[in-house]
Amino acid sequence: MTGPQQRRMGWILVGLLVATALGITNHILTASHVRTPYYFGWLLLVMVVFLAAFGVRKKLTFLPPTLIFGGNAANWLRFHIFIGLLSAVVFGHHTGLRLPTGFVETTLAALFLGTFLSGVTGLILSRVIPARLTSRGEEVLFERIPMFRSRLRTEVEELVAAAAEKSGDSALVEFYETHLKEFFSGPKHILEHLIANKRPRRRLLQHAQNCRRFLNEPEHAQLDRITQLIQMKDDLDFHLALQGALKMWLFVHLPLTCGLLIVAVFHLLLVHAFT
Amino acid sequence: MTDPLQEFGWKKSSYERPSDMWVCGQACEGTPCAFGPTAKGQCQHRQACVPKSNGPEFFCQRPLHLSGKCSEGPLENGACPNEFPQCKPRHSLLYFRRIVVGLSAALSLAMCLLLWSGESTEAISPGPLTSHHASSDVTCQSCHTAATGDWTSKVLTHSTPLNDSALCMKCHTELGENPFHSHGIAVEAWETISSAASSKPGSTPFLLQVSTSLTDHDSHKQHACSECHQEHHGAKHDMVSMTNNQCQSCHQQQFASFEHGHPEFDHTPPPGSIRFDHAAHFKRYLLDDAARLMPDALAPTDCQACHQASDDRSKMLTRGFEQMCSACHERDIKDRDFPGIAFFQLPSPAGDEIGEWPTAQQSTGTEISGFMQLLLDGRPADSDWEIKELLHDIVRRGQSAIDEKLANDLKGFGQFEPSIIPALMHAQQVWFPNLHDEIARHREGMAVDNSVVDVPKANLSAPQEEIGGGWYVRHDDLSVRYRPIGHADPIARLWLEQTLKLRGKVDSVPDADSILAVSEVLSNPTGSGSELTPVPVASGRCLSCHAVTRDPATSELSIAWSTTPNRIGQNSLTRFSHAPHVHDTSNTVCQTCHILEDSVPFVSTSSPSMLTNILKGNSEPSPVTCGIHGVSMNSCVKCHSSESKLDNCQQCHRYHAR
Repeated sequence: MTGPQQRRMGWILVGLLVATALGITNHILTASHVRTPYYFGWLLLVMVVFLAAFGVRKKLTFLPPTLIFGGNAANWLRFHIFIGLLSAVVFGHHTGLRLPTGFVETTLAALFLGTFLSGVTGLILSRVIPARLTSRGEEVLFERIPMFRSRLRTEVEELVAAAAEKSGDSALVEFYETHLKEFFSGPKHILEHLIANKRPRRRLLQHAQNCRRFLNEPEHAQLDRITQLIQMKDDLDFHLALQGALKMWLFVHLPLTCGLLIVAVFHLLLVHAFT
Repeated sequence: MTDPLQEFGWKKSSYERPSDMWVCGQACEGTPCAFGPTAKGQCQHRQACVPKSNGPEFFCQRPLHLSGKCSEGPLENGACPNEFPQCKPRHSLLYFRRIVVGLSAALSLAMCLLLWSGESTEAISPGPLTSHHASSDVTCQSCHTAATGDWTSKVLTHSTPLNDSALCMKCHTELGENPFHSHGIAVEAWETISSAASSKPGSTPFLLQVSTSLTDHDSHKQHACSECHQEHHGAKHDMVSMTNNQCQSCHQQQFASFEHGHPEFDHTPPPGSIRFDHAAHFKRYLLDDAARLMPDALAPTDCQACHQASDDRSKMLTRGFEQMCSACHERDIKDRDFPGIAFFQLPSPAGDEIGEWPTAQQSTGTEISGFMQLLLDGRPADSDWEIKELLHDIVRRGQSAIDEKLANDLKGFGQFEPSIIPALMHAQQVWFPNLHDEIARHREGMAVDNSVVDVPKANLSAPQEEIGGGWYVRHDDLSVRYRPIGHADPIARLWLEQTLKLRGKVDSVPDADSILAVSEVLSNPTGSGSELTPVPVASGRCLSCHAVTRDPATSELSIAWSTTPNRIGQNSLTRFSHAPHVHDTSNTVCQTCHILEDSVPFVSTSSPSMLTNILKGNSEPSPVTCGIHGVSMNSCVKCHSSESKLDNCQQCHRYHAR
C-alpha cells in the first residue's frame, strides 16, 4: 500500500470511528431525553460554516499557512472533504432520517443534500478526471484551449486552401467542407468525451481514410497532416470537456452552499422562537 | 512529430490570471495581448510595447514570448509602430460563477425576508400536524405562545416550552392535576415509589448507565410535552413512540431487555376479587360431581361458559351469578329455614302501667334487638312506654324518625331498601291498635287501660306475615324480622358495608356490639344465626365468595360484590388487551397463560367473628385465592422477545397515569 493510499485509509478509519461515536452519542443522548436534534443542528451549522470557510481560506493566499487554522490549502481541502462527508451523518441524526414536510425545512434539506451531492460529485471528478486527462493529448491550460483550437483551424484551412490552389476541385476540399469545417469551428462531442465515447473520433478518421483513395500522391501528405490535426482537435475537445467538468461542478456547489448558509440561519431563528 | 501546442516557461508562455473578472477578447482568436483588460473590463492594449527612452533614442520593449524586439524599432517620437486593434474583453468563468452565487444568495435572502415579514405564521410551519391535531380550529396560536403577536421578538427571548405545554392542557384535561410531573404522578408519591424501587437492583447495560447518568432525576422537575411528543411530521406520524432506553434511563431498576431482567409480575390479586376456586371447580365439581351438583343443568366445559370477551375483545369479562353460579348455588342461597334477623322485637313488659301490650306465645325475654338499641342510642329502654313511643314515632313520621334517632356516623344502617316501615306499621296495627290514643293520654298524664291485647286469631293461625321484600312480622315472638331474599340481598349488603365503615372506631361507637351482632349473623357460613335453625343456612355465606379485601394503597376495606373486570386497572401504568392474544376460545389457549394450580384445599375464610376481628385490628383479611397461578413472564417472553421486536416497553406500559 502506497503512502497516499495509507493516508486515505487512515482518513476513512478516522471517519468511521467519528461516525460511530456520533451514533453512540445520539443513542445515549436520546435515551437521556436530551433534545438531540437541537444539538445536532447546532453541530451541523458549525460544520457547514467551517466547510464554507474553505472558500475564504483560498482567498487568503497572502497569509502564511502557520497563521491559519489547518495550515495550507491542501490540509484545508482534506478537512473540507472529511467534515463534508461527516456532515451527512450529522444531518441524518439531526433529521432522524425523516423526510421534511414544511416549506422552510424542505428547502433547507434540499439545499443541504444538493450541496452534499454536488460536493461528492466534485470529489469523485477530482479523483477520476486527472488520471483520464493524462491518458490523451497533451497537457494544456483550460483558458488557452480556444486559442489552440483557433490555431489548429487556421492550419487546416491553410492546408485545404493550398490543396485547392494546386489541383482545383480537390476531394480534400470536399472532405473539409463536408466533415471538417463544422468540426473545427468550435468545441464538439463534449458529452461523448465525458462518457469516454470515442466513436465520433473514429468516424471522422474513417472518413479521412475513405478520402485518401480520391487523392493523388502529393495530397496524401496533406491528408496525413490533416488527420493529425483532427486528432489534436479531438484531444483538445476532450480536455475541454473534462477540465470544464472540473470547473463546472462548482457552479452548483457554491451557489447551493451560499443558499444553505442563509436558510440555515433563518431555520435557527425559527427554532429559537418556537421551541 | 508534431510540435506541442502548449509551451511552458516564462519566456514562451504568459501568465494566465484565472482570478480576473475579464479576459482578452482576442484570446479566442489565438492572439491575446500581453496586458489583458483592466479591472473594469477595458482593453488597454494599443501597441506591442511601450518603447523605453534612453536620451534621444528609444528602444523596443516587446517581450520575448511575443517574438522579442521588433526589427523596425520605435518611431522617432518614441511610439511603437506595431499598433494593435483594440479588443472587446469578455467576462471570465469566475465572473459567471460569482454571478450565479450572488443570485442564489439574493434568492435565499429574499425568501427568508419574505417569510420573516409575512403576517401569517402558517408559511413557516415545519410541516402538517398529525391527524389527531389537524383541525380547522387549530392554528399556530393554539399551541405556540410565540405565535401570538410578533413572533420575531421571541427569537432572542426564547419561548418557554412549559408555557406552550400549558396550551396543550386546554384540550388534554384527561392528564389530571400533575400533567407535567413524571408519569403525571404527584411529587409526594415519588418518594414512596422511589424507595420501593431502590430495593430491587438490576443489571444495567453500559450505554444505559451512561444515559442514566446524564438524565435529570429530579422528581420535582416538570417536563414539557415537546420533550417526548414531536409534532409537524405529517398526519401519520407516531407521536408517542419511545425507545426502551428512554423509558429505562429514568428508572432505578434497570435491565437489558424484557426477556432478560424485567421484574416478575406482581401476583397479588387486586382489591375487589371474588373468591373462586378455579382448580377445584375444573378438576372436581365440574367433572365427577357435576351430575350430583347440577342435576338440571349442563356443566360448563370451557372458559367461555363463564368468561365473555368485551365488545372490543380487550377484556375477558365475567358473566353474572345467574349465568355462572346459580345452577349449583341457587339452592344454597334460598334460605327457607332461616327465621331471619329480628330488627324490632317487643320484650316482655317490665312494669304495670304499660297500657295495651300483646301477648307472645314464646318467651321474648327482656333484651331488645340490636337495631332497636341503635334507635335508642345504645342504651336499654327505660320503660315499656319508651318502646311504644319509639314505635309510635316511626309509624307516624316514617323514615325521617329513623334517621333522626340514629347517630350521624350510623345513619347508613337505617337506609333499608326495601324499607322496614311497612312491617312496623303492620306490627303496630296488630300489637297496639290504639297506640296513638294511648300515647296521647300517657303524655297528658291520664290513666290508660292496662288491658292485654290478644293478637287476632287470624294472625295466630298464621304466626308470620310476609310484608314484602324479605320483611315479615312474627306474632309468636312479637318481632319484625328480615330474611334475605336470595343472591345479592340488598339489606345484607347494606349492613355489611356499613359495618366495614366502622374500621378504626369500633371502640368509640357505643352501639358497636349491637351492630356486630347482626353482622356476625350475616357473615357466618356455618351457623344458623338463630337459635331457631339448627342447620347451616345461606344467609351467612356472602363473605365466602365476596371477599373482604384491603386496598394496599389506601388501606380501605371493601367487599368484592362484583368481579374485577381486569386485573390491570384504569389508573395503572400497565395495559393489556386480550384481543391480540386470544385467537380462539378453547381452554388450551386460555390455559397457556392462566395455569390451574394443582390443588387448592378449599378453606372457608369466612367465620362469624372474622369481620369483628378485622374491624378490631385482631386479624387481616385473608388473601384471595382463585386456584390459578398468577400470569408468569415466561408465557409472555415466548412471543415478546427482542427477536420478534415485540418487547418495547410501550407494548404493555403507558406513560401517562390517568
